[in-house]
Amino acid sequence: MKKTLVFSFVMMMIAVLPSCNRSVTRIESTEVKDLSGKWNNTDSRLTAEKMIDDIQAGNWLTNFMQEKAGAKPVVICGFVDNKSHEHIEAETFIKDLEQSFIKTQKVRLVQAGKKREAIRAERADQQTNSSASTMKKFGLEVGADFMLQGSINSIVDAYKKKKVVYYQVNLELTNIQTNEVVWIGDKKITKYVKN
Amino acid sequence: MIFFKKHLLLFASVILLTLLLSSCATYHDRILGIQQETIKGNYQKANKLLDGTSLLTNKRNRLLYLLEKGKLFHLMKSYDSSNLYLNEADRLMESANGTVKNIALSTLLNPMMQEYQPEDFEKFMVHYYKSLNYLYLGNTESAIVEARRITLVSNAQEDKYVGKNNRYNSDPFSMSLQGMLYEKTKDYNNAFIAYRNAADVYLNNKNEYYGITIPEQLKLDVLRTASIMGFETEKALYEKKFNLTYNNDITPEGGEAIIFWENGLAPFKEEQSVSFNVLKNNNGTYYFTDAGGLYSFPFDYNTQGYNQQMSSRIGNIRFFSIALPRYVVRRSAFNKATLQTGNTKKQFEKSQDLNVLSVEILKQRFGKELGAALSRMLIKKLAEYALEPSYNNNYSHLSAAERKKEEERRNKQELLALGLKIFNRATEKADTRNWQSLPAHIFYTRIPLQKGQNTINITFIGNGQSTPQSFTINGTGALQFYSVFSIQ
Repeated sequence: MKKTLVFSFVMMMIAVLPSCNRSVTRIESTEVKDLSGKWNNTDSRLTAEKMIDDIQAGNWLTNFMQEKAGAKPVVICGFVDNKSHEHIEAETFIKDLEQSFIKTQKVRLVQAGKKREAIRAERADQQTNSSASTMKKFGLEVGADFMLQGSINSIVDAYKKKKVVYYQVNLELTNIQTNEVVWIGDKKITKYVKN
Repeated sequence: MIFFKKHLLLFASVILLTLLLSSCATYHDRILGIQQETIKGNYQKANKLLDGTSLLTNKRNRLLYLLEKGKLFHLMKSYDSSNLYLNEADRLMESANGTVKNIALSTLLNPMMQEYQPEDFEKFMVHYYKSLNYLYLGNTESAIVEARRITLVSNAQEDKYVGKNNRYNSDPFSMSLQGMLYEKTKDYNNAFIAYRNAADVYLNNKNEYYGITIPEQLKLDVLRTASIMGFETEKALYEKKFNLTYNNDITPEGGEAIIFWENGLAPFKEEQSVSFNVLKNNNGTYYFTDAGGLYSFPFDYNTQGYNQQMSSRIGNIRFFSIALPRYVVRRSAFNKATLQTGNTKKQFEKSQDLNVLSVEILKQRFGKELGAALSRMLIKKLAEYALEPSYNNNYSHLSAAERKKEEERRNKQELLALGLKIFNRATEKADTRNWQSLPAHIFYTRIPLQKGQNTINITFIGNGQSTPQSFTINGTGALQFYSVFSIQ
């Protein structure tokens, strides 16, 4: 009889058992949490940190300032080609880099791509809809001295449940006037993933 | 007699509970009416029937309800409503892991009693419908979110079967779709990665993956996007891999259209009964084997509900039957389709074959299903034995009153054991649920458009008959999407 009661109790408990709830904890963005072995926030952060250090310590900056009597170079960010095996958002580390230009005030930055198109559209709109005193004029944009472009490549070597993933992120700065490449930065990340 | 009257309530409760939990009908039998109305194109009626089917409105089948609703509203071209259901389904899928309650219900009763666990390919198909719904609503930004979500599902699938190359560890159809979505927004870099990843799946599997030969269109997609991006090394590499030379296409003035053709209905599950013996190994552990000796599975001592006291009784069980699911492939009325617009004539290419995929996936996890079903049945059997009274008829040392009391106790226990036996037989069921309004096959083709109205003529061909269908697409210069269906 005791067993019957236990069995009935177990069945009843199953019926009323709650489902497990998901738990979410906020962590520091600098905390390293490698879960799947794929490109993650840490890789983006490390790339940004390395690129920021390299680009700001590069000779191109001092050379330009010497040539231009202390004037700061103007940079426009172009496209980062992703040739890797993963969908990687380059914008996360490019934005960090752009932010560092503004924070350190060593490099001036101009808008590119779709955002520049939106600015130009707004300026065009102002020609008909804004008062003459506040309307912004055409042809006064700051022309960039350098363009930043880049590429992401990867090599995957896998055997059974082991995998080595190698990422190489390259950024390069080209003088728009002379087409001369003045700086190349790289960040290499190798991960060993064992399941 | 008095005893039976006294315990009538208990016995009736067992029978009632048994009736509630058991039904010979499979999931397919229960929703057959809905599907018949859908095939006839009576979507409103199908929708009403769907809402009136108690099995589907049950909480444990909420996901299936949402999936069936989502597909039905997609067919009705109510894309907003479709996504309302599919978004909730998507959220449920993310949290539909094996909870304690689910595992216990599945082990002690039957897997039909647990919350519906989606098939792997169903997780991809949700994003297929959601992204198309968003595209048809003109919401490209949200469609791109679906493209990114496909990456997450792909990663999860890859991780599920890491190191097991013979398993369904990626879905090249979804990757191709991802490429198309990126291409729609002129993100050719991500489109290239998606197309190339899809192509790699086929190339790594000798050009064939779960019933699909690498589509010619996919080869062109890889080469075109590589060419647009200026990835000349990659273009040359894949030209060599495909044995194909790509000449840069001139984008047609009216843009292009990708037409999806969903054909037939995906397989449904039915129940099959398999008989097993329980035998003891040399090392003293028990294992199950079928009559033909084809399968041999050790008893999982970690099964929910098992305890040490049960081990001595396993030997009493000799033979039993279990219920397992089996896919039934439905015959489609058509097997190919041609398309003609202006001077362009094209054949649709098969890009997803759920007839092959679902059957193969079930075959791959047959061992897991079987192991779970065997352990489930054994636990039930052990519980039955535990309830059976011991047959000691030596009452000579007992007084008349004590003897009567002992007999009464034994009768009561026999009745309970009988009730549990009936309950166990009746509740032994296979999980016959699956998203059944999915198509059997998805075909697609990509066509150039002229500026302005383009008349598209499609002919579905099969079983000696052909059915034409026509519609128009306005060529705007952009990449457009369109879906056609032949459900019968």
